[in-house]
Formats: sequence, C-alpha cells, structure tokens
Amino acid sequence: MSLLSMRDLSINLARAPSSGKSPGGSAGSSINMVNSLTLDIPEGSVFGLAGESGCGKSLTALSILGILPRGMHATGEVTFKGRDLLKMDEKTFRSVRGHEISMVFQEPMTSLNPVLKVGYQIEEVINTHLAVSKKEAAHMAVSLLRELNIPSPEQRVREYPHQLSGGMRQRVMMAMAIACSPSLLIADEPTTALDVTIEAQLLRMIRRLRDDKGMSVLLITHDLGIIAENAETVAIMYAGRLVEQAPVAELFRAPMHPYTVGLLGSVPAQRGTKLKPVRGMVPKPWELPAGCTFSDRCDFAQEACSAAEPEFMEVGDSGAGRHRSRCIRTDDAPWRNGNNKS
Amino acid sequence: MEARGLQKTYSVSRGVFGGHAALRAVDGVDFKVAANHVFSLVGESGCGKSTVARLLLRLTNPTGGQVLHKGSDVFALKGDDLKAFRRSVQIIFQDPFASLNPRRTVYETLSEPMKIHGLADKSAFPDRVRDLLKTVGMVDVMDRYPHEFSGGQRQRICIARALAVSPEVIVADEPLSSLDVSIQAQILNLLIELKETTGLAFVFISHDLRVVRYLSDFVGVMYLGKIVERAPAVELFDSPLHPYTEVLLAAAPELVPGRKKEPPLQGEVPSPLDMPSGCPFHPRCPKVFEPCSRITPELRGDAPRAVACHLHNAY
Repeated sequence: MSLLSMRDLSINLARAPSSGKSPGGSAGSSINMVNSLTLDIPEGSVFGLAGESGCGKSLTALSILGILPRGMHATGEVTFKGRDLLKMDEKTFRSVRGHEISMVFQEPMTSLNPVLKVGYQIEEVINTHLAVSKKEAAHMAVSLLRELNIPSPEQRVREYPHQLSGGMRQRVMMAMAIACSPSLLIADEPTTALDVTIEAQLLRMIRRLRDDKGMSVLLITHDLGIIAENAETVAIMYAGRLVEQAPVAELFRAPMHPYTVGLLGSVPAQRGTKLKPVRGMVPKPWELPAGCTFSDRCDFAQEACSAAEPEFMEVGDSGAGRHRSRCIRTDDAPWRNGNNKS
Repeated sequence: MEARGLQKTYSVSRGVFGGHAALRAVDGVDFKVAANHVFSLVGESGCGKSTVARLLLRLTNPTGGQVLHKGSDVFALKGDDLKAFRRSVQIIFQDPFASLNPRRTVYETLSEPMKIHGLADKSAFPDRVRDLLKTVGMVDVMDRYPHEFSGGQRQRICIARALAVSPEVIVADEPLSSLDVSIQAQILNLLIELKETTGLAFVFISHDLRVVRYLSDFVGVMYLGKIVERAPAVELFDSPLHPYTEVLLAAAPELVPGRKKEPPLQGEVPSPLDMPSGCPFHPRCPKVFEPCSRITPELRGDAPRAVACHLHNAY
C-alpha cells in the first residue's frame, strides 16, 4: 500500500506576456519543467530520487507540499492517504503541511529564521498542529533535540541559528520536521552542505526514524552513494522525466537506462580506470531534443530514438512493474558490454 | 614544492572585554610535491586546507615555517624572482562564477597573463589562446563572456587561464565541488590528462575522498590545522593508520547498496579557538587511551608514510 502516489504530475512555468524576449518561444506560452511523473512511495521506506541540477527533482518535492514558486502550476494527481493534494484548499493543506508531510531543505541557514531562538521555532510547529500547552511544547522541543543527539539541548533551545554549527542547524531543521511525527518526510539534499562525518550522522538518523517510527522518506540527492546506502527504491530523473526506477540493489547491479549508466560511470571508483561520464550538458527545458530527451547525449542513440519519446516500460525480472526504464534499447542493452561499471 | 613546518595563526577578537585569542589555522604542516605528481590535502571544513593553499601561493604570509619552491624560500623572493614564482605557480579556485571577470571576453582573460609575463609576441596570442582552449576541450569561444557559459565550461576556462603561463605547479582548491556529478567527471578526466601530458605538479585540495582516491599519488589528512596522516594514496586508502582517517573513509558514501556501516563518528570538530589538550582528535576518537589527552603526538614515520597518533608511535 503506497502512502503517496503521483499520477501524471506535470509542472509548467507560465510565461508572463511581457517577457517575450527571453528564451522559450513565444510570449504567453508555458515551459514544461516536469513531465507526467508517475510514482508511488510505499509506507515505511526510503524512496530515493536522484538526478543532476535542473532535472526537476526539487520542484517535484515542492509540488507535494503545494509550495511551488510563483508562476508554476502543477497538474495531474498527487494522492496522499486517499486525498488529492493538488485539489486541496489552502486551509486544509495547512493542517497537512508540517504535520503529516514535512520537509528538510538543503540550506539550513536560509530556512531558519535568524531572529528567533531555535526553541521558539520548533515550538511554533508543535503549537500550530498539536493540542498541547506551551509548557509541554517547550518540553517536547528539548526532548526532540536530545533525541537528535544535540548536546545540552536545554541550552541550545535558547540560542539563535547563527550560534549553531551547520550540522547542528540541520538537526534543528530535522527536529522541526519530525516534531509532529509526520508520515512522510521529504529531505531535499539534506546533507549537501555538510562534512562527511556529519552527513553520516544525519543519514543514520533518517534511517532510524524510518525503522523506529515507520516514517516514509523521500530522499532527494545528486549523490548515488547516498542512495545506495540509504534507500530501498530509487528513481532517476532527467530533464523533468523519470528515466529509470528500480529497487536499489537492482539499479546498481543492472542499470537499464544509458543516463543511469553514465551517472554511475561518473563516480570515481577504481584508480587507473578512466571515468565514463555522460558527455555534454543537461539541455534547457525549452531546448529539449525531439523524441527521447536524452538522445542528444546518449552514446547508444539510434535513428528511432529521435522519432518518438519512449514509454516508461517494465524491464528486468523483478516483476510487478518494479523496474522500469524509458529507453527503446533495453532488450539488447548495449551498455552492458564493458560499459557497466557498477 | 615543499612546505616545512608551515604555521598560520590569526588573531581573533573575543568581544569588547575578551581581548584577543590566537586561532591556529595551520599548525606545523610539512609535505613535498614533485613534478608529475598529485599531492592531495583532505579534511573537513575548517581544518585549514584552504589556508595552506593561500600560503603556498604567497597570498598570505605565514607566522612560522617555510614554503620552498625549487629550493628557494618563497617568502624571501623579490623582484624578478617573485615574478617568476608568480608565473610558475597557478591556482584554480572552487567557484568558477566568482573567479572570472564578467566584463572580459575569454580572449582577454586568457591573453592577460601572457602579456604580463611577456611570454609571446602579441601577434601570436590568438593562436596560443586557441591552443589553450583546445587543451581544455573548448572551441570557438574566444569572443564570448563568462555569463554565456555553464559552471563546467567556466571551470575549463579557469584551467586554461592557469595553463596560459606554462606553470610548473597548479594548486586546485576544491575545483569540482560546485559542479554536477557528470561535469565533475569530465573535469576530473581533463585534470588527469593534463597531469599525464604536461608533467605538472598538482596540489589538490578537497573534502571528497572518492575524488582524492581516484586522482592522488600522495595524500595528507588534515584535522584542526595539523596533518594527522600522510601516505601514498594507495596505502592510505587500503590501510589507514590514524583513527580519524579510518572514520573519514568509513563515513564516505559508496556505490554499494546495503553496505553495513560502522556507527559514525560522534560530535563535531571543536572550535580552533578552544583547542583540546594533547591530541586534537582525542575528544572524538573511538580509540582514545591514556596519553592522548596529555601529550600531543607528532607526525612520525618512515617517509613517505607518517602518522601522528600514540597508537602507532610509542612514547
């Protein structure tokens, strides 16, 4: 049973009539940022969403919370516990956001309010969503920080964000996110700004929340190493589309999309072996090639690749549609011969 | 190039009545890097690795120790010798958005250093610039401005600028960390190609252990201003000696699904203003024992391998 299911989620950026000079075709048209995303996040598991900057992974997260930037519009269905979030009115949404679904952002310094004590900021979340007294909320804030391994939490709640280190701030963000025991935690590049040892501490904490509280986590990252070690299922995004989705072990053992193969080939592993990264750069959303959006960078592209966009089809032998890829060459999988480095 | 007992202490104000405190950013760093080799400095933020980069380039003066370039003390250089040093040691910065002049075309950016050092006749500049750009994998971009390029392309231009004066040493301070993974790999391939074709010496500064393992010949692991372990890259990654190196290696994510991980290191790096007694790592060290909090271990061992830990150096 999935906790959250997306059906054909598309996100479009409407062009203001006056901005006809900027790229992207005629004035008044819209630019497609995310294109018919369909995925299911099961209960009690970590779902990894990976891709390079600009592939639409963060927009997908923001659309779940109904906080897309101005001018962006989401269509399709995002069903959470039987309710369609895209059709929910703002008043109802406010009781879901931060309560049943919450989010940890990449940059804790810009997401915390610099002029409020961190204790107050955590208590605010609790007071908004739970029927508890102010005193209880204050007590909960301290115990949340203690649970997240912050030393002397009684002191810390009285401090301001600038008095804390980066790792500590991210833990405060985490405390705010889990204060109301959400069923879904969205973590958007939660450790990118942190050192490796602090990163390892935080990821361990995320795994513990999943194991102890049965929380589902949507883990968004560009680092496939983090996905390998923390997620059960992984989806790879490219140019606003899902190009591959699979159980983690399967994706690393037998990747079925040339972009995934390229991403894996970009990670320095063995000395002396030349890296085989994807060539070129991610195209702008208004300059996508015809047919398969990856065809202009793909080493295995054929004529048919530019004719029509491939379907997101089931591949491999894990069954039940668990391994899917958007590529027409999965039958002969030419990247297997010496190109598969995982 | 060689660093000998390099030290840099900053004086930090402790508020109105606090007076001043000494912040030891770099505290006795020694290493050598030879032509055609890559020496990497790794460590977490605040360990002093970027300060070492600045010292190597003589962008800031040390409070102790020396930097030697081809046997002469870099900080004693004057006049023509200093100019020659400026030519032979170049840097690539982390952020290619901040390190290119937005008002200059690629041609202007790349020809300027040649002009300053009088390396070629002016009429030869266009050809040289074209060659440089070809070396870093770019064509027909001479008349364009930095804003027209992506991060990866800008980093290529920065590399071309460093190469413009045919240097002997390149210091690269986190040159990959602002780039996407596939672009990182492209630039990494370029750096390796340069190392193999030009015989340059590289000092590579990074927090990314995967990249360091891939690229380096020798590695120094820094913690709170000190090198705690120094070794040939293969040995360091195969059999780390210092407990800090061990936990750093264990914490780095690998492409292995379901890998059992050691519990991560607890706590955070202490403030360099409030340095622990004895070994700077002892409050977080999983293998701490009696002498660690009393005696500061020295970096010792048979060159090229050395470690600063009481577990390995008996006192």
